[in-house]
Amino acid sequence: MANPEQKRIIYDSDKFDSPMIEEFHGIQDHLFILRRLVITNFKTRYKRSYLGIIWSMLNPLLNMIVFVIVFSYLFNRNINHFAVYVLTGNMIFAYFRQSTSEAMVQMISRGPMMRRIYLPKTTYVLSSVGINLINLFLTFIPLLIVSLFDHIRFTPMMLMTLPCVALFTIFNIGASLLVSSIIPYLNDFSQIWNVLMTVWMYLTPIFYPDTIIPPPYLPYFRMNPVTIYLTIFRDAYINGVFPAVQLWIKAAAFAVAAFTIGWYFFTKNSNDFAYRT
Amino acid sequence: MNPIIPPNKAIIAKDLGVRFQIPASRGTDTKDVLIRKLSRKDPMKDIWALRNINFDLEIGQSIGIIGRNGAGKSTLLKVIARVLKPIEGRIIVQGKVFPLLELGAAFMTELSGRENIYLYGNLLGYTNEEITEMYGEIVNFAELEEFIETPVRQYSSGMVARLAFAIATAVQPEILLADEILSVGDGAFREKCMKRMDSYMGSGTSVVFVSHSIEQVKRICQYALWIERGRQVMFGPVNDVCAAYTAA
Repeated sequence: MANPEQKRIIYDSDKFDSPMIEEFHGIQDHLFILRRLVITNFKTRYKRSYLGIIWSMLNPLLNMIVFVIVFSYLFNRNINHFAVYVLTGNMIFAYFRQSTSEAMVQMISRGPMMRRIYLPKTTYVLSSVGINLINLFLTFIPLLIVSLFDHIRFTPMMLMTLPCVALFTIFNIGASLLVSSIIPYLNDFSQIWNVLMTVWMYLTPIFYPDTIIPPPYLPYFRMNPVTIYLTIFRDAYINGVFPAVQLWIKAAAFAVAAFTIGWYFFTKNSNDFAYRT
Repeated sequence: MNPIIPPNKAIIAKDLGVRFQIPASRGTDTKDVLIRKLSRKDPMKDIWALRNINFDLEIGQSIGIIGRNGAGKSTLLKVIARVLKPIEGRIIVQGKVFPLLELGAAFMTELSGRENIYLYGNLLGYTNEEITEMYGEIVNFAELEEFIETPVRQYSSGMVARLAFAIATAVQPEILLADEILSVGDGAFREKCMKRMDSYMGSGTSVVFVSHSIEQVKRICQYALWIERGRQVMFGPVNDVCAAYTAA
């Protein structure tokens, strides 16, 4: 109600905080909108397909079956629990790939909204990572089912996948912010990103063991952040061992670095986005 | 600049300037950007969509923005709505802004009317509980009881406009940005909108009103701002400005 006694919100274009800080406050004030965007985007994603939400579980499962059939002859003997190995690889990589590409789609398709209603721009990116995080948790259902068939031993160590997903999410947010701050300036960057993602996918041990990498290259190969998160995830889930501390340190370092860089570049330019979309 | 913001002002604009860089709007794929960089003749052209705009508006009063097509009226609304951050000058807005800019653009057309009420309501800053409380009122005002579970993509443009107006004005807004809103819907609905706007304006809502209809501006606003090609021609009491505008 427009009550004169009530304190009015003041917007002053001259009041200058650092954009990085300002955006944090903005997000805090708009958390319920972020939630709404995640819900609505999730709903629209499955609105038109007959099986709806089942697809987010069926898709990685079918993918896994294809991979297992195609590659089992090649790699099966070197890898224990090959089906779960492939499924976890696909889950983790898909989370990364889909978050980043969805973020760019949001930046473009939400242009009309961006040009009419003020929202902290990071909301659009966070919502895309949010939907895919839900998706990731949905794929835990087929993962548990496949694990039963693949005779995975269920141990409490499996819970260590949760902090791993948390760190990976922070990394994902950073990467998504970074690619999203490019897309307003290069409209076709999502096409380039798609190609990069395919290369990145083959550089990640999703369906092959990293023992096929020639030893001189192995240290470089293991610097791939997605590989780090994936290794932690598999150590905890498949092998039931506590992932090495060094891995955790690297995982945390990549998460913090990606988030800081992404947040910095995105917020630095975000006032300009409405001029461009 | 005076650090104290007068508490009785809804909007203060000082020397506002908004600049678009023209190549940004066309040819921003990699090939174009590369060609521009390589050929070194970077044809960046600055277009000042607004410059040196000065006005202020007291809480509870309304201002009409007039000018020909392309004068920068909608751009000014976007600056007030915080969508475009001014390149020059300063804008201060005291109060929550309810943009009625091109009604319904924020709707997700795959979703039903009901889901869009919650989405749009959230975007305007209402919590889910508040929206649930005013839900019946919104549907009733928009006259969409039968279609509320239908996806918005199947709505007519009039239905979309009705729904958007009903949501944005469900609770008395502090500041309402209205861009040609009263040119939508049928006559009867327009009357209903006008009535609601009148009652809100009588009790403290400030309206920033963009229209080509001088009659409507005179009816709604106490002040008017006349802009042409992004430059301010005149600001003052509505009758003076409108008289000068019609004479020109």
